[in-house]
Order: sequence, then structure tokens, then C-alpha cells
Amino acid sequence: MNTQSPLALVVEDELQIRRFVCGALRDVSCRASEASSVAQGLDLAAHERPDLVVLDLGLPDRDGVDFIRELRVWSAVPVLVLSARADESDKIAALDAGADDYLTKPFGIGELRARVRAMLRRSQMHGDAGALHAFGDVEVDLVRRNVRRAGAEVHLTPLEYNLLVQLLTNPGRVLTHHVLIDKVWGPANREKDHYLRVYVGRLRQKLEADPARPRHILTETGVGYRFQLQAAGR
Amino acid sequence: MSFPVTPQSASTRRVADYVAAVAACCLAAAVAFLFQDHLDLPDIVMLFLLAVFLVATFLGRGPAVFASFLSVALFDYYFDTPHHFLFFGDAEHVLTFAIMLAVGLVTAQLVSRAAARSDEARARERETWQLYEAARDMAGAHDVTRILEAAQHYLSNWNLGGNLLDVGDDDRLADHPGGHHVLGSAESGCAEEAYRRNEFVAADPRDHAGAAIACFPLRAATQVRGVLAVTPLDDHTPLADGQYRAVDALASLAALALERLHYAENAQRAGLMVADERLRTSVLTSLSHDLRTPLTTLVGLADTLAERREALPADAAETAGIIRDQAQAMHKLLSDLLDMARLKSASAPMRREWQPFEDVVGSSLRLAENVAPDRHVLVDLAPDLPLIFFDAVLIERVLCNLLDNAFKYARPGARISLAVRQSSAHLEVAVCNDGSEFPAGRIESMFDLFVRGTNESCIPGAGLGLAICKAIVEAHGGSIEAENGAAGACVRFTLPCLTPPPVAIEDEP
Repeated sequence: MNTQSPLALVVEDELQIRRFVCGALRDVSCRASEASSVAQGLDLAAHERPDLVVLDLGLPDRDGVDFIRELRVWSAVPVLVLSARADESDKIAALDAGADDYLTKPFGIGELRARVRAMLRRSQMHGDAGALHAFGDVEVDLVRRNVRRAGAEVHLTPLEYNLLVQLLTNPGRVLTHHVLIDKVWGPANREKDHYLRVYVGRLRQKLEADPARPRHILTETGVGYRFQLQAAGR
Repeated sequence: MSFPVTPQSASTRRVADYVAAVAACCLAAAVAFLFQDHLDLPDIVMLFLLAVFLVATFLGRGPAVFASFLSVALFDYYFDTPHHFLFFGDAEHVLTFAIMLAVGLVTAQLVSRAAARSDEARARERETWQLYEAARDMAGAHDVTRILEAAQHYLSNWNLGGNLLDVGDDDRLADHPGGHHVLGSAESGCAEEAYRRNEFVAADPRDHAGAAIACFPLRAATQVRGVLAVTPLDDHTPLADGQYRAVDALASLAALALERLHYAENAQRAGLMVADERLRTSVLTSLSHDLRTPLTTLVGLADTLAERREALPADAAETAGIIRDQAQAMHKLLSDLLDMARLKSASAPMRREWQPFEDVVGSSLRLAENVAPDRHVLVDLAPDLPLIFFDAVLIERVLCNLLDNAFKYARPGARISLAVRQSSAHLEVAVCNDGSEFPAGRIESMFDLFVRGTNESCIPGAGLGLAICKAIVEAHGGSIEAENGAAGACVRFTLPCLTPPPVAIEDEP
């Protein structure tokens, strides 16, 4: 990462939306480069090597999901998807293709800024996350495979532990049901969606202060789960 | 089937038969006489036997008996010694006579039986052919009128007239136009009875003023499709046995044809509905996209203004905030309307999955409490809730709407609670607040579209929230109700607990 302020690529065909998105990016001291189609976006992404991509799914020339697939072939740059569609399947398709997070239109500037900041912070931290993780009153040592809550050891089954590791190592990212099942149970078990939900419930029982109001293992309804290192909400 | 035969022609025929019998015997006698010198007595007897046989074969029993007598007489008179002397006393001739008589009778019997059988077979063949024709006509029929015409054509062979009564969408019998005659009330009653009881009903003319009529229910595979009413054309006698069978067969054919028409119509209607639904969905999708884009711009730009770093004058910043909030409210309304339209359409896409209910409670609380940070919800989740089969996005919508309502209508500081428990085959969810009440007497209508709790417009909303909740809960096979209870205003809804798929949990280490 260079010392310059980070560069964000905004791929959005609506001029006015692009305008305020770029404004919000500048607010978080990003430079913004703009594209209005998938082709132009891929071109800019290849030449300018942005640190973040903000992508609208409904683009005139091709589907935004295609953009993510092609981008992911050669780049791991974080992608924030803007979706005008309320249908969860579009978001899932984008996330499965490799997007990191999504915002449903219409969204507030504050929300957009917060997401962008979090994504940039994560990509900067990337690589040196280390073996020790802590959230709330929970400490996880990935080397010793040891989980403590308020100092006391917490017993997790191997699957629970694997699931926790997937969540821990992708903080802030939305992980779809498919992605989590593939990683923990294996792609052959995709129809066992309910296993994932039951295990997430068990993890919350063991690790969350108030399992009915989880603050770290959050549900993205209809899409998947998001692990939040800092407590969410109140 | 019998052919009417006048008495005069019958007697004429009978006399002719006897004359022919006499001629046959005389011919046998003449041949025997000519070749008398070359023939033995038994040969001559054979000649006469042949005559009797032929008479029996072609002319029937009476002439055969007559020919037997005549043959024995002629044989006795002309050929047996002494010539020209009629004598039946001889034991030998008694036997000859008996054989001739027996041959005559048996042959006549056999022939008449065979003739009757062949007549019968021919009649059957014709019936079958007519039935085949009717079946062919009905198979090609593309409306009820054609079926009626085919039925009438067939019935005319049997000297019957027909009316076809078909069943409309309202489950009422209606006489299809073009029937044999306009049915009187007693005749319609007969048809109605046949339809309701699903069995053959005949009305005797002696019982009522109308014509004799017989009503056959048109039984198809799935239901009775109508009634075939037949009236004898010539007289007022009830149906003959053969006619009954024939019409019964016709009724089966007509029922099949009506059922085929019914399904063809249904298929066509379903095709139209699918096309309709597709159009509706595509209109909704593009509406949703086209309206959200300008709203996104509006929210984003107003928000940019309101949160500018170089602060705007206070009133301008406030105006920008109001524009943003109004645009957000408009978006909520738009989403509600589109969701309602989607839920009301037959092919509402639901993504029901097996999942713990707690999951959606947590995400709903997060969403609802983000909007109203000054409110707090007491959560009461029963332990060990089963997996429930539901669409999480939609149920989250229900919970958020109910919590939003509680936040909106309850006075500040009121206790708002969300309780989830299992009761037999249902999951029961209650959202209550002790800070408001539903208007008495209007609780039932709370779930109707555009009905609001208070008529004042000081609380924002369009009266869509509860209607959407109801549509969603009912789409899941549950029920929803509102009440003013001890805990204040409560909305309770249920979701069915079905049999969840097994989850094998590993043993704790």
C-alpha cells in the first residue's frame, strides 16, 4: 500500500448517484475514479489498481455480478455492492461471486462512509491479523485452538470451532450461507442449510452476552452472517 | 330392435311359405317318380328328407312340420307298396315320419336361432357404429353445442329427443340452448334430482303434465358434469331396455367430452394467468427499480447537504434533513406498496427455509432499535424452540412492522415486549405494549389495507403495515390477531410447526 490516500473506483451508471457517492468517499479522504459501465470499470480497475470498488449491480452493458467474477480472477480488492433490487438473490449472487459487503438503495451517506471506512481498515490490516482474536469478553487463540470467555475456557465442538474461525478471519464481511457451508461442511452439504443456522445459534449461546440480541455474530437476513469485531448497536 | 310388421303382409307371407313347402315336396315326389326305376326306397326317403330339410332351413318351423306330413303322405301314397294307398299304420313308416318330423323341427329351430342371433349381431353392429360416430363427433367437439348436436344425432336413431344440461361455475344446472324442447319445471326438477343424486331418474308423464323424460347424470372421472335428458319422440312410454343401455353409453361419452372441454378451458385460462402474472412481475420489478433510483439520489444528495463538513446555515441543514427523511418515508411507502402487490399476486416468491426463530428475532430487534434508539424491547424467548419453516426476510418484515407500530403508538417509556413460545402445533409470537390501545370495535378491520389506528395524521404511516403482516403470516399458513389485553395492545401471530429435518449435533468434547 502506498502512502497516497486510498483510491476508490465507483462503477455506477446514474450520474447523480455517482456524484454523491464520490462526495462521501472524499469525506473519508479517498480519491475517487468513476466508471459508468462494466467494461469501463474493468478497464479502470486494471489500470489504476484501486484500493476499493463501489459497484452498482444494475449497469447498462452487463450484469454487475459479471464484473465481480472477472475482477476476482486477478484481484482481491474489496468490493462494496450497491443494489437497487430488494430481492436478496441478487445480493447473494454478488456476494457468492466475491463481493465483500452490500448496501441496499436508498442508503444514507453516514452508512456508506462507515462501510467504506471499515472495508479500507480491513484491507490495510489484511495479512497480519495474527493468531489472537478478541471480541466482547471472548478471546480466541487460533494456534492453540483455545476459546475463553471472561477468562474461563469455552468448549466448542470441532464444527462450532471451524465456523467460529471462518467468522473470525473474515471480520465485517458478509458471508453467505453457501460460503459458510462450503467452508465448514463442504460443498456436498449445501442442502443442509439448517445445520448452519443451528450451529450459529449454538455459537451465540456460548459466546454472546445476550444470545437474543447478538452483537458480534450478526444475521444478514436472507443472505448470510456477518462477524462484527466491535460490538454492533447499543 | 324390432321392425314394425303389418298383420296383412305377415299372413300373406305365411300362405306363400306353405305353398312353397307343398311345391318342394311335390318336386321331391316328381324327381323320385322320374327316377323310380333307378332308386331304392331308402333313396326316395332321403329325397323327401332333403325337401323337409330345405323347407325347414328357408321357411321355418310351421312349413317344415307341414312338409313332413306331406312327404310321408306322398311317399306312402306313391312309392310304398301297395301303390296309391295311404297307410300310416306301418311301423316302418311311423319311424320314417318321426325322423322327417324331427329333422324338420330341429332344423327349423336351429335356423331360427341362428337367424335371431345374426339379427341381433347386426343390430349390435349398428348400435356400435352409431356409438362410434357419436364418440367421434364428441371427440372433435370444441364447444357444448357440438356435443349436444352429436348426442341428438345419436338419439334420433333411437327415436329419442335430447336436452343437455351443463353445470356452470356457480354449480347450477343450465339447459344448453338447442335442446329438443324447452324443459318444464317438473322436467328441470327431474334433471336437478339426477344431478344431485348422481343417478338415473325417470319422470313418468302420468305423474306430471310434461312429456315422459329420463335424466342421465353425466359422470366424469372427477365430478358430475351435467345431465342428459331424453324424451321419447313417438309416444309417452318410458324407455325400453335397449334404449336405456344405449343412452347410458351416450351419457358416458358426453361426460367425457364435457370433462375434456372443461380441462381445455382451464388450461387456456391458466396459460393466460401465467402470462398475466409474468407481466405483473416484470412491471413490478421495473417500477421498483425506476422509482428507487431517483429516491436514492434524493436521499443521498439531501444527506450530503445535511452532513456537509462546512456547516450550512441551521435552517438550510434542517431543510435538507427533512427532505432526506421524507424521501426515506416515501421509499418505505413504495416498498410497502410493491411488497403488498407482490404478496397479493398468486406466485408470490417465498424463500422458506428451516431455521431457528431466534435468528430473525435478533436481526429484527437490531433493525427496529436502530430506528428508535430510545426504545427498548423486553424479549421473552422460550428455551428449546423447534426449527421453523419460514421466509426469514418476510417474517423479519412482520416483526419490524409490529415493533415499529409499538414504537409509534405507545407513549414514551411504555413497556414493549416480544414473546415467543411454542403451543402444540404452532409457534406463537406476541408483540405487546402497555402504552396504547387499539380502538375498540375496530380491531378486526385493523388488518385491512389503508386502515389506521388513529384517524389523526400526526403519526406517519399509510395503514399498510398490518395488512402486509397479515398477508405474510397467512402465506405461511399462520394466523394473526390484535387484542387489548392485560399487557396493553397486543398483536399475536402464529406460524405452523412442521416436522423439521433432523440435525445431528456432534458430541460435546
